[in-house]
Amino acid sequence: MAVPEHDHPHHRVDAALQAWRQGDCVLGEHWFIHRFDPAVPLTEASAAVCTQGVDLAESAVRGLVVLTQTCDIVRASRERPFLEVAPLVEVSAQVAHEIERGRRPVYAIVPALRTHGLVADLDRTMTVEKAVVAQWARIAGCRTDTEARRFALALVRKRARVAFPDDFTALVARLQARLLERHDKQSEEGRALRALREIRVRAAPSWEATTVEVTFWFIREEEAMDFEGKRWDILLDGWLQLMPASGRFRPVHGAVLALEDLTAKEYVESDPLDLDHLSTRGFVLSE
Amino acid sequence: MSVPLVDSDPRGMPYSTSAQGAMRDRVSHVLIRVGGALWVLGTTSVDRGATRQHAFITQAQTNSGVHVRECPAPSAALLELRRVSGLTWDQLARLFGITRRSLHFWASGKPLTPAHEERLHRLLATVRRLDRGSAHTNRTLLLGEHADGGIPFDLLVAGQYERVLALLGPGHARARPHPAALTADARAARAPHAPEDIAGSLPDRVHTEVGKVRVPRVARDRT
Repeated sequence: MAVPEHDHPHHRVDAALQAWRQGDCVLGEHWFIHRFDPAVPLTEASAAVCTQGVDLAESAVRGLVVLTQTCDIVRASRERPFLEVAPLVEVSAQVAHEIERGRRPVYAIVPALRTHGLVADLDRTMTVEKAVVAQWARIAGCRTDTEARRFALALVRKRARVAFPDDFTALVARLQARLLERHDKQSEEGRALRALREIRVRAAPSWEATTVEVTFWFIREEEAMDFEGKRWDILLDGWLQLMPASGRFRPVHGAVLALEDLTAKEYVESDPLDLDHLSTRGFVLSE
Repeated sequence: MSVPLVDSDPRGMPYSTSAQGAMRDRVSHVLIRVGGALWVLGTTSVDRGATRQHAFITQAQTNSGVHVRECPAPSAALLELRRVSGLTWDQLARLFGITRRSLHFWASGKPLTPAHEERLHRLLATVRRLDRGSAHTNRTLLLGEHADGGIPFDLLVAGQYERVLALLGPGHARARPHPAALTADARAARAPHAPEDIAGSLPDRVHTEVGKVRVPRVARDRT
């Protein structure tokens, strides 16, 4: 006797997945699989099994979180059978705080698990079929639109950070140091930088050009007409002095504006100043 | 060759007056000269001028029928001039005969000299009146060659504001919509991370692993 179409197992999978959302997770003993080169095992997991004639290792993790976008999760499993998941890993409260602030793009906060000290390890992703997830006991990872948006932004940031040229990284090293150093003599300049909403940079005609005109948009909060009584243009002068035109980068411009003063064109033609701390440590130390 | 500093409605109607009994929605695109200068808080110090960033003309309605638009602070006026005119930073710098760097500093709050400030407000009054509602259209109009061979942008550089208005005519742009503000939560959800955090990202992996490892059961599929 033929199975009625609506009783087919994939329909049950589809029905179970209608409740799942990006950021939802499962806790308990789960296994994460990855391929490695037995000749050069780079992790404890691969080193533990590399002598057994295999090139795959399964590591126990505390749980898994779904990274796939919700609209793709709920699509019919016959047409879109796969989901992307990342392992949940344990971090200290201090690290969790840094992740929350966006300082560690390797990880993403899963809001519902914040108190468990568990976060998503975005360096590792695994593909599973939807029928596997359909059997899991779902835990809603994000409880509000705001939480879901922050989680999605963490995924975007992990994948979409701009790779600035090395010589540009050198150009901004002193500004970066001023931004990060909380105990330097020029603390007012540093505090003012940290009070900004965002720093964006535009390269014209392009980052690859022989000569690049660089413009920094120091975006202040709308209500911040000055910084602790000091005019922004005075602070701007100090910031630009940290980045004198050099090499390919000339001239170097900058302005302090509110978001509403920047045109949409200027915003989309610029990139957020998103840099690794370690990548410039050498420049900072040699300053 | 100046834009009149006090003006009437281009359709020949006076602005809101007590005689009409009601304020009209539209405000005039005009400036008034106060005591022969654009300063209200008297000072000759350019630096100290920054402390009176906010409006130096505040009155809105008078019995004389003149409805005066509040003058924005210089940096705000400059940014409005840029937004409405569609001109680039470089083109705006040429309007003032200064460098782009200087213009950026004005936009960031550096005080202007009285002469530059007056010029700024005349330019703003001019582009407000010719505004077609599109920065691209306005820029095209300003940079295009007119039938008589003149280029409005060059006339603006020369300070011939009335000539530009006569060439291009009034714009009658529709007012920009003013959508309701987002909630604080909605704004926060769209806010980027702080500069300090993203300009100093920490790339190292610092979590603890469970530590159990096994060899997976694998079936190879070469189809």
